[in-house]
Amino acid sequence: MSEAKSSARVLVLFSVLLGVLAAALVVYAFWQALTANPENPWSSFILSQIFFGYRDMMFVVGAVIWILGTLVFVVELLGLTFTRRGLTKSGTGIANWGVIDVALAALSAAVYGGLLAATAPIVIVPGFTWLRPANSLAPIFGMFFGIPGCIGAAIGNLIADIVGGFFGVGSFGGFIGNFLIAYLPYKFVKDHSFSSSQSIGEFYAWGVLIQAFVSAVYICWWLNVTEAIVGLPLFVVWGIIAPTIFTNNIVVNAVLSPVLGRILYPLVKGRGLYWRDRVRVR
Amino acid sequence: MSSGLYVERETFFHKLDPRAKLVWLLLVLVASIATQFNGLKGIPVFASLVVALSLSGLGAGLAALLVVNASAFLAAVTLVWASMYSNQGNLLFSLGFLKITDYGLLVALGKFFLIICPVLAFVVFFSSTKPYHLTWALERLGVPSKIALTFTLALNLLPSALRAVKEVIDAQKARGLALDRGGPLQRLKNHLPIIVPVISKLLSDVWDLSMVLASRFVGLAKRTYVFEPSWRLRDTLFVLASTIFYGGVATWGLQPSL
Repeated sequence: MSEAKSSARVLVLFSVLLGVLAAALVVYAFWQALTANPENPWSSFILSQIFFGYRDMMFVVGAVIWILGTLVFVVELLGLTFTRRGLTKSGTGIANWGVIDVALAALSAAVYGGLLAATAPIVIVPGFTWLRPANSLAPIFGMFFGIPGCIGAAIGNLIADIVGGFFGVGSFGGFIGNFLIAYLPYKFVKDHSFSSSQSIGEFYAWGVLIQAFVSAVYICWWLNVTEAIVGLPLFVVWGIIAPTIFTNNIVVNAVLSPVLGRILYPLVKGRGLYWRDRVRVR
Repeated sequence: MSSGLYVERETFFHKLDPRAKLVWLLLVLVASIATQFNGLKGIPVFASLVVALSLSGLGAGLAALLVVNASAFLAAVTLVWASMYSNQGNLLFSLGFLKITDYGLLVALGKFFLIICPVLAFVVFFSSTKPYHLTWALERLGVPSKIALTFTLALNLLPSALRAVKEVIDAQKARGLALDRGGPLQRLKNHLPIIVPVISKLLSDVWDLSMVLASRFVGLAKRTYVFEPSWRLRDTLFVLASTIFYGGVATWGLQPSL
């Protein structure tokens, strides 16, 4: 038993270290690329080289992620969820939503969209890459409010697209992509309190590393498929947008989300809004 | 009277069926996409939106204001897109490493219209469609009732959410918070004193909104509407005229010109 506990601790510590290290490496690698080639840092940025260089492989991986992600989105809205025992009732589908769920989804969407629109992005390279502090809320909404929070993040991003002038064919990818950003930590992080090493470790694995990769590949695969309509060259899709989404989601969620989660969890729990305290069928 | 983004008026656009306006919105988007590589072909779409702003009672003055505000954005778009297409077309001028060609400039203008035209169309749509009718139209298009309501509620709550964010930013700045102080990671951390109070306010509003929704029996029975919009001849004519106009522009936009 104690052996299992200590190996779990090692795994947790490894996840946290990996998450922090990944965030630090991404920032350092971009800084290196910027110093080496200030006119076009993307050509020297290691992540751009990986995403664009292996774009055929990314396309195949993206297709699998896109099919699975969209399937999960539809299944969860229908009130079902994938478990080790197969497809089971979740009790969190739209048909099960009460007034609190509708209110949570609407307010999450308004606040997420409002924060995305009202807070200026932190620009690293003008016109090329930035960090959006409001993105740290998507996993928090998913973990604390459940499926209504995931839908809130998706609608909030859609509203920010409409208000910010980014609405288009690509917004469909952004809609489900943001749903997945909130969904992955909601589904796979067991302890949502951010008060134990296990909770934080699992968050760094699912809410930082895996989520950043899944959302970047999901959105960019969609942009790649709709290239003729969206009009973005493949280098822009895989060489600029994919590393930008990946960088933003890794850095913002590694730095802000655990702190926000630690502060907000007692408030959410105290007001009776934590999803596990409200959902009956599970 | 205003509710969220809706502005109460008695104009042509206010009288249209929301489904007709949704079709128009879609056509604007299609035409903007089709003309994104040639800004000159996007001008008719932009001009039609200035007319739409007038017909929705918001006035062409608002369009002028939006264009003036967007001119800085146009400059940024031009820098990014024109430099991306600097190898195609005839060189107009160069500034350091930045080379502007006629082709690059047309693409930049097209991309600018691709962004600004749908925004203007959404402004017209949301300001002339009652939230009640928006929910109705989304339901008619097959969106689940609770999702349609969530979307409409979120749109209505957006102005108050923006106001709340702005108030918190002002209050924290008055206490000495400087959002742009330090490196990128420090600047990220500087946003914590803004996000936490905003979420705290969200948590207090949830119960109030829930009670309002419960008093209207949301989720307890199938939603019904007392005042349902009806499709009239003017809606058919409007959709027909829009299809011909934007369809023509889109076809023109897809033809190679350079």
